[in-house]
Amino acid sequence: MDVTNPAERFFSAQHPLNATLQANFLGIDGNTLTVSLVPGAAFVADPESGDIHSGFATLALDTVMGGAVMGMMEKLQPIATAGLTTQHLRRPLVGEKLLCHARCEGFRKDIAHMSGQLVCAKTGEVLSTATGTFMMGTRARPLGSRV
Amino acid sequence: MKTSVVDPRKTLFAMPMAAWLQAEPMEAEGCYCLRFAEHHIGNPFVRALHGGVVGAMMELAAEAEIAVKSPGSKAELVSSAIDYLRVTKDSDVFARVEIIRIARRLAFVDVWCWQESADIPVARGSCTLRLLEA
Repeated sequence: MDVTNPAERFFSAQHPLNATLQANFLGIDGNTLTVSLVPGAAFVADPESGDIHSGFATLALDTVMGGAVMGMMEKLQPIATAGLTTQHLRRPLVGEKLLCHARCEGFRKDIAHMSGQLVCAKTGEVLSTATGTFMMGTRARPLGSRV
Repeated sequence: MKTSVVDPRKTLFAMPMAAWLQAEPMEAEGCYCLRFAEHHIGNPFVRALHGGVVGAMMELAAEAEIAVKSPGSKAELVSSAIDYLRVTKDSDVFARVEIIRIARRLAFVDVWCWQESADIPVARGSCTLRLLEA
């Protein structure tokens, strides 16, 4: 029986996006998941400076917060991002080693409230922060008419 | 004398990130398109697009529209807030950018995304951008 955490399995699996983000599971400490990432040339915004586009941080934070949600569910089921807010302090550089921390702030029924930080692995400088709201289980019976 | 008008978004859509997103401007004013690619999938079981891909596309569309409306400046995203209204299927995504205000140093825009019909939005977002000299 596989006893590895579902988050570890998620980041170890051959999910194409994880491979593109060069995302590797590092560990879970309490309710916080940490993943290492390296932004590749595909995400460059400015080829002269090597600045990475803010969209990379948005992608990374959504991925790692979603992975943390999966790691904390008792029974694995599909999840969907319902809301995502991001703040960008500095754009990472291409090839810069990064860490992404995702923390579960709490569950309420089928909603997970998450927060995340993308930091420079070497200095700990915060590059981006995020909060995310995730629905656990993507199908439910509608309670009223849908608009 | 013939003069050529350079699209201020040309540099933006030449960057690798835009190529990865397969994003491009549409003919309609303020509208952009993300051409579906297999690497945009976030949930392989239901073949839904990754929320971060839709978010990144909205951010790029916001920057592009600022480049059109505020020539000579370069916009960098400061923050974004996105609501995912529906599952985004494995097909193209379209975005319409509405400029709320362009101030001296900051710009505020709203972005609406849809797939089948503009009347059925799949996501909406608000972005704040810092304006820099190009």
